[in-house]
Amino acid sequence: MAFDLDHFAETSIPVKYEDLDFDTFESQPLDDQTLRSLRYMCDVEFHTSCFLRDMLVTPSHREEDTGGFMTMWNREEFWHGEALSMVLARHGIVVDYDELKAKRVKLGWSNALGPLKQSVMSNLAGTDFVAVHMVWGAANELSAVAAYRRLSALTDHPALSPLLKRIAQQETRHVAFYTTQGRDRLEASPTAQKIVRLVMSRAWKPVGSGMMEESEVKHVMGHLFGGQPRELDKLDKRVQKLPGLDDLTIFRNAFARLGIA
Amino acid sequence: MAIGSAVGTGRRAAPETAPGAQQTGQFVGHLHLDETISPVVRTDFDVAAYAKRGTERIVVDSSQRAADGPLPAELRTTLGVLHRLEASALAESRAMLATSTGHEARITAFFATWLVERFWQSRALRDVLAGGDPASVTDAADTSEHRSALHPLHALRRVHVDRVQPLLSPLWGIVTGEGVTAGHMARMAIQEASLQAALVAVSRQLDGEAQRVVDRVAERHDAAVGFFTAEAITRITRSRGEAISARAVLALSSPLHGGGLADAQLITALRVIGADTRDRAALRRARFEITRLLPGPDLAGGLPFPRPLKGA
Repeated sequence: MAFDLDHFAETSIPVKYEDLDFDTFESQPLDDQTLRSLRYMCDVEFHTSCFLRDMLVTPSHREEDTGGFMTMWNREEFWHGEALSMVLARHGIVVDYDELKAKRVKLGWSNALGPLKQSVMSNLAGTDFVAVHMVWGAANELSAVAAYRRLSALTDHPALSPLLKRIAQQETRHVAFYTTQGRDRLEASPTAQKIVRLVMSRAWKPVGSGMMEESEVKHVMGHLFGGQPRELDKLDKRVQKLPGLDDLTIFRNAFARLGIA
Repeated sequence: MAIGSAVGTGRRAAPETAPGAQQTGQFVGHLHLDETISPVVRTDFDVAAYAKRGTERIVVDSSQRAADGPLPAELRTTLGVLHRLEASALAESRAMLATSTGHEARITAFFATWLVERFWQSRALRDVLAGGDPASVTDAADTSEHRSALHPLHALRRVHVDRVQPLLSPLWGIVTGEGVTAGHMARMAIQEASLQAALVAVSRQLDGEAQRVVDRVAERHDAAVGFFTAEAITRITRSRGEAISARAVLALSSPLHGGGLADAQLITALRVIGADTRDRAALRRARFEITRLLPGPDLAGGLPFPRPLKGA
C-alpha cells in the first residue's frame, strides 16, 4: 500500500500519559536497572534531532514523502523523550534542556562529524543511499518496539507499563514507513541491495550505539534481551523479508559482538 | 517550564543509575551537566507549552475555492513563492542542526513543532493554489521551470548547498562555536516575520476562501516570529561576538531564499507584495527589527525590492 503522507501527518498525535497515575512512582518506585534502561531510551529519543540532521544531508530530504515523514517522526520521538523524562523526574533524575545540551556537546567530534560522514557516503552512493537510511531506520525502529515491549513486560508497573506499550505502538507507525520505503527501493535497485547488505552486515549496531557509551549499550541490551535469542531471531526475520537481505542476521551478530547471547 | 523537572512531594534522591550521576551540589540529578557547559538561552517564550499544544492541518474548502474563481496570474505566482518558502523549513533546519545550534536543546525542542507548523502552512498554500490537483503545485524552488529563469551561477549554488555545505557546516560550527546560533536565529526571525508580512500583504489582494486561508497561515506565524525574534535579540545583545556572527550569517544568503536557494519568481512576487507602502514598510520592519542591532551599516541596502517600484 502506498504511503499516505497526509493521513500519517493528520494522525500524528502526542503519546498520551496524562491519564496515568504517576504518583504510583512514589509508592512503587522503579529499580535501578529499569531506570538505567529508561534513561538510555530517553536519551535516544531526544537524540532524534541529530539523527534527523544526518538524514537531511542526504538526498532523502528532497523527497516529499520522506521529508514529510521525517518532520512528523522528529516530533513524535521528541514527545516520547518528554514522556520518559517525566518518569525519570519522579525518581530525581533530571533530563532538562541543559542536560540534553551537555550530552550533545560532550559527544564531541563523533557527533560533529556525523553529517560529514553521511554526506560523503551519499555523494558516493547517490540516491541508492536513501535505501540504506530506510533499512537502517527500519532495524532501529523494530528494535525500539521490541525494547519498549520487553521493558513493559519486565516491570509490570501500573503507570510505566502502559506508557511503554503506547510508545511502542507509535513506533510501529515508523516501522511501517521505513519498511515500506526500504522494500520499494530495494526492489527497484540491485545496486541498492548490495550497498544495503554491505552496510547493514558490517556497520549496523543496536539503536543508541553511536551516542551512548558501549558500557551502557551492553548493560541495557543485556537487561532487555539477555537470554532472549528468540526475540533477536524474530527481529532478524523481519529484516530478512526485505529484498536481497534474506539471510542477514544483523541482530544476532550485533548482540553477539556485545557478548549478549 | 523546564522539561523533566522533578515534581511532586517526597522526591527520591537520584539513584546511581550510571557512572558519574551527581548526587549533591548544583547539578544534582544530572549525569552530564557541569560547569563546563553554558546553559541554554531562556527567553519569555514558553517552549514547553508550544511543544505540547501540537498543531493541525489548515483545511481548505476546495469547492468554495473553485467557486470563488481563478486567482489572477500575479497572485498565483506570489502565493507559489510563499508556498515554496514555507516548504523550505526542513532545508533551513539542515544547516542549523549541523552546527552548534543542534546542541541547543531548547531550540531543537521548538523545532519539533515548528517544522510541523511550516509543513501545514505550506500545505495550505498549496491547496489554495491547486484546487483539486495537489500534484500541479511543486514544493521545490528550483524546478526546471524556475531554474531556467535564474542566473547560471544558481546551478553552482545548488551544488554547493546540496553537496559542499554539509561538509563545511561542522567546520563552520567549530570555528564560530555557539556564536553561529545567533546568526541562525536572526535569519529565521527575519524569514518568519517577512513571511507573515508578505502573507498579510497578499491577503489584502484576495477574497473568499483564498483570503481566509492566507489569513490563517499568517496568524500561525505568530509563535515562530516570537520565538526566533526573542532568541536572536537575546543572543545578539549579550555579546559583540554573537552580533558579528549574526551579521556574517545574514550576509551569506537572504532569508527570503528558502534553504539558501533563490526562487526565480521572488522578484515578481516582491513587486506584488510591495505594491502598497504599508506592506513595504512591514517587510522593512521584519528585517530592521534584527539588523538594527548588528554592527556596521545595514546589509544590501536593507530592502529586497526591485527598482523602480510600482506606485512609489
